[in-house]
Amino acid sequence: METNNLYINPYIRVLFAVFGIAGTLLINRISLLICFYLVVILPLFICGQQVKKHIQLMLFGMLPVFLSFVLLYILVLKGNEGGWNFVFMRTSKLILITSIIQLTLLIPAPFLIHTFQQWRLKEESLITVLGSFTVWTDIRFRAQQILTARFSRGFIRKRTFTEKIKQFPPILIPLVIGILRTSTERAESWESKNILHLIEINQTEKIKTPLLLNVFVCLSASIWMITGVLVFFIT
Amino acid sequence: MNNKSHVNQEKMLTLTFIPLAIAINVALGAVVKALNMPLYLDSIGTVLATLLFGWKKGAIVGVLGFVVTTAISNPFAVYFSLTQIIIALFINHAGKSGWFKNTLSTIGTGFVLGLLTAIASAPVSIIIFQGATGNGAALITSFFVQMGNRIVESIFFAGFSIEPFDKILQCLLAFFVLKSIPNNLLEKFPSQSLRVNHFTDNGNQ
Repeated sequence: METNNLYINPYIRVLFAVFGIAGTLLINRISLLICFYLVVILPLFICGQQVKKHIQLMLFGMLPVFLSFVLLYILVLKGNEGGWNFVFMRTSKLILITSIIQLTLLIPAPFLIHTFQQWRLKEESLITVLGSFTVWTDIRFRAQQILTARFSRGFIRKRTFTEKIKQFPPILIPLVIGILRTSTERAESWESKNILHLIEINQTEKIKTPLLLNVFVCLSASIWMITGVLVFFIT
Repeated sequence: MNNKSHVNQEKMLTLTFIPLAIAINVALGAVVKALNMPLYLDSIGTVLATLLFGWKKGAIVGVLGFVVTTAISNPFAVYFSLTQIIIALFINHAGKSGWFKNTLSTIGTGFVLGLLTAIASAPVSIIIFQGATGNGAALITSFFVQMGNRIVESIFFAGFSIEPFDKILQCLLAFFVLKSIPNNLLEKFPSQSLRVNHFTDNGNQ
């Protein structure tokens, strides 16, 4: 039985997502939202060694949203429809909900198959979902390789919008042809190996749940949900 | 027996293609980001999967692709999953009706698809983001609000300004990609849309 400190039980993942999002929707106090982020969300990203991805999310996802809230509701509407309080409330809620979704979906590679099996995915659906979470890295690498090659060979001289648009067919055509070939070859190979049967009889090694982490995730989500209900009915 | 083997082969082809089509959506999204382009181009995999396998597989590609994208690069993609189902449904209809026969009809298809996706995405932009989506659409929304329109109207106007252009481009890219794929490779895919739009030689007969 394998033990891993990063493993969150699949059912607790779902519970965390449901209770976390529900609590966030019910609570309308910025101080509580920030508190939940600092005490629960951020430590979980640190604990799951996903801080880099979370910072990317904040920089490339949340910062532009915050800026567009400021542009629309403060600069253009001059605070007539909510003002700063509205901007901070909406941004905090979006940060929390998006972080909760990201925490639920960022499953470390060694636990992918086990988690999906626990979520009752079987045979075809299991292969599809597993493939979609793993194959994209290879394809993105291939796409970036083609792009880098075109840059280094000097095919992209000007970095204007139309010049960039023109780069898509040369990237897409070899990429899609490669993908179609790979999928037809793989389909033949999978059929001859009877992969669906192999997946069905496959039993992944059981993983020992790290108690402290899972209790923390479960408790924090439950307390957050209860707080949400209380705050909603009291205020 | 032969029929069972054919069905099995088709099932396997679908199973191997779906993750790769999702990867096209994710990879192109990353390339668009790398090139700093004010477009989405995140549905080409959905369009291709729909034309090759029908709307159900296309919708799976679209929705799962957005789930994966949410986890790794664009945290808001998952909110727009319904739009991907609408893209799959419309492309399936367009493919079977022969709206991908030539460049002009493909542009028309992309334009109508753009209008549909603008309508489908607007409720999400209104309810979840209140117009502040953090991309080019938010800037255009602000522009329309500045011109004296209400926020809801401005969100629709912004969608109608961006989506048709983006979807025309995506449909054209899918069209040219399918046109340049060797016939013997495309014939392995059991699609009515490919034949109706003459992407395979069978359609020309």
